[in-house]
Amino acid sequence: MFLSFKYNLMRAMENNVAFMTSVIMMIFNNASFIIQWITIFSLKEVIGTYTLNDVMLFWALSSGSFGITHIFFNGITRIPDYIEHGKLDAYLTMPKNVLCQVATSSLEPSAVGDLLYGYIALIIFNFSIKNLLLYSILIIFGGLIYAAFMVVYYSLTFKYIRSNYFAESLRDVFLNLSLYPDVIFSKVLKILAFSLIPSGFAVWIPVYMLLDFKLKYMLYVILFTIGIITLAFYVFNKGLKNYSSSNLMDARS
Amino acid sequence: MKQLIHIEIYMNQELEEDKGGFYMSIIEVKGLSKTFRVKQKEKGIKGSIKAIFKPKYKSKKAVNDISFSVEKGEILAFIGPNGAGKSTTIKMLTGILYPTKGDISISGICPQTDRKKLAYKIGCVFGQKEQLWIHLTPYDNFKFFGAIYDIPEEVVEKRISEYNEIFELDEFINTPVRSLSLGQRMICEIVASLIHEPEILFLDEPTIGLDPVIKEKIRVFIKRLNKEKKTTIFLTSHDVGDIEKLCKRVIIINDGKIVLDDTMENLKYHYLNKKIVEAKMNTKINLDEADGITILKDKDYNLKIEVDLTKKSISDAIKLLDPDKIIDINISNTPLETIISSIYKGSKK
Repeated sequence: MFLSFKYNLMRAMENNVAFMTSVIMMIFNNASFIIQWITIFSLKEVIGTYTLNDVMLFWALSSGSFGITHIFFNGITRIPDYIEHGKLDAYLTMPKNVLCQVATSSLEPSAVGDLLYGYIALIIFNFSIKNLLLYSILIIFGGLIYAAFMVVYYSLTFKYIRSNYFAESLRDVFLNLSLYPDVIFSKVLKILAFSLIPSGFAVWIPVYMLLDFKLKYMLYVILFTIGIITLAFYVFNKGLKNYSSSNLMDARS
Repeated sequence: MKQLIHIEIYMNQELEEDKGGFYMSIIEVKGLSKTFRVKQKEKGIKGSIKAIFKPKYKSKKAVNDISFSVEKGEILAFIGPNGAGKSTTIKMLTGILYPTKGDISISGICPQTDRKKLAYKIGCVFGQKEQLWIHLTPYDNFKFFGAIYDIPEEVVEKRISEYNEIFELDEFINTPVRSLSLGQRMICEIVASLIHEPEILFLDEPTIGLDPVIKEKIRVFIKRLNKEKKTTIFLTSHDVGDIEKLCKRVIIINDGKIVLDDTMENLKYHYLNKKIVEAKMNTKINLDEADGITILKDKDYNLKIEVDLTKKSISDAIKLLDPDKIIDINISNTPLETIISSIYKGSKK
C-alpha cells in the first residue's frame, strides 16, 4: 500500500502547482460551510442535543474519513471504469491482490485538503490531545468503512453495466448522512445509516465517542469495519469471475 | 474448411528434457471454452426502453473446445482473424478471464486458482493496452514493477542497465511515458514485462502500429531472449513478418476453434505449391488461361501469372510465355500473408 502511495504521490505531484491549488481550494470549499452553520446556530443555540462545536465534529470526521479514503484508496472510484473498459487486465497479471492494487492505484490531490480541513476543524472547535489521538484513529476506521462501502456498490458493475450511477447516488446519500447531525434524520434513514448506507458506523458513532468515549462504541466500529471489509473482498472477488475484459485501446493514467 | 486441418505435430528440436527425462509442456490446454453473455438491444430509443424491462441476451462462444500444448523454450504464433478468439484465449491463459469449461496448466499452475503464483512465471505485453503509468518515467515504472514482483532494488537496477544496453533506453528513460513515441513505449512495455525474468512471455500484437525499424529491433530482441534465457514466447500478431521471422510453430484459430496446428516449415511446404511469375515482355503476347495457370495481371508488356505447381511446372509456364520475348523475369513464392488469408477464408466455409 505504501509503495502505491509513494508512486501515486509522485504522479500527483508531477504538476506541483495543480496539486497545491487543489489542496488549498478544497480547504476553502469545506470551510465555507462553517459560515452556514454559524448562521444557523446564531438563530438556535442547540439543534437536538448538539451545539456548533459538536456539529463541527461531524464535519471533521466526515472530511477526515473522506480524505483518508481518497488519498489511499481513490482507485475504488475507478472500479466501474476499470470493469467496463477492461482495465483490470493490467492488475490481474500482477502478483498482488487485485482489489488492493486497484484501490491503491490512484490518489485524489484534493483529498489532502479534506484531511487537513478535518484536523483544522477539530483543532478550532474541539481541541484536546485526547481528541486529537482518538480522532486520528477514528478517521482511519471511517475511511476504511467508506472505502469498503464503495467497493461493494461499485462492484455491481461486474453484473450490471452502468450501475455506477446507482452506486454514486448511494455514495452521495452516505456523505449527506455523515455531514449532518443524526438527530435531524427520520427513523428510516437512521436504520439505513446503520445498515445499507453505514454513515452511522463511519461518522455518527465516532462523534458519540469524541463527545463521550465508551468502549462498546469502539467495539461496534471495529467489528463493523472488519465485517464490511470482508464483504467488500467477497463481493469484488465474486464479481471478478464475471469480468469480461475488452479490447478497447486505452492507457492507464 | 469444416473439419480440422490435422497435421502431424512437429516436435520442436530445441525441447529441453526435464529431470525425469521426459519432454516438458510448459503450457497445457485441454477442452478450453469461453462463452460470453452479450446483451442485445433493438434499434433506437424504443429498443433502449424495451431493453430495460425485457433485456435479451445472446450467448457467444468466443473459444470453443480447444486443446493444445506448448513446449518449454518454444516460440509459438497463435494467430487468427479479428474476433477469432486469440485474445480471449490469451486472457484465460494469463488468469484474466475465467474459462467456461476446460483445463489450463501454465508451468504446472492453474491460472484461475493460483493467479498470484502464476504472475511470477509470466510476463504480458498487450499491444493495445498499456500497463505502464503514463505520468511516471520509464525508470520509475521499472522500479515500481520490480517492487511489485518483490525483486531487490540492486537486481532491478542491474536488469534496467542490461536492457538499457540492448534498447538504448538512456535517451528516454527519464521522460514521462505520456511523452514517448509509440515505439519507445512498446519497448518500455516489453522491458517492464521482463523485469522479473518470466519463464513465459505472452505477446498480444506487440508490433501493432510500429515502424519497420522498431519492429525489427523488437523481433531481434525476442529471438535473443528466447535463445539466451530460454523464455517461451506465446505470440499473437496480424503481422506476418513477426510470425515468419520469429516462430517455428503456428496455431491458427478461427471462430473459436483451432483450424491448424503445425510448424512453419510444414505450413510453407504444404501451402507453397504455387509460384508467382512476373515477366516484362518486349512485345505484347496473348496468353490464355490454361490448366494450372491463372493470369493475375496483363497490362501492356507486363504479365503476372500464378502457376499451380501440382498441375504445371515452371519451365512449362515459361515456355507458354515464349522465352525469346522475355526481357526480365521474377519468380517468387506466394506471400505467407496470402497463405494465411486463404486458411482463414477456408476455415470460414
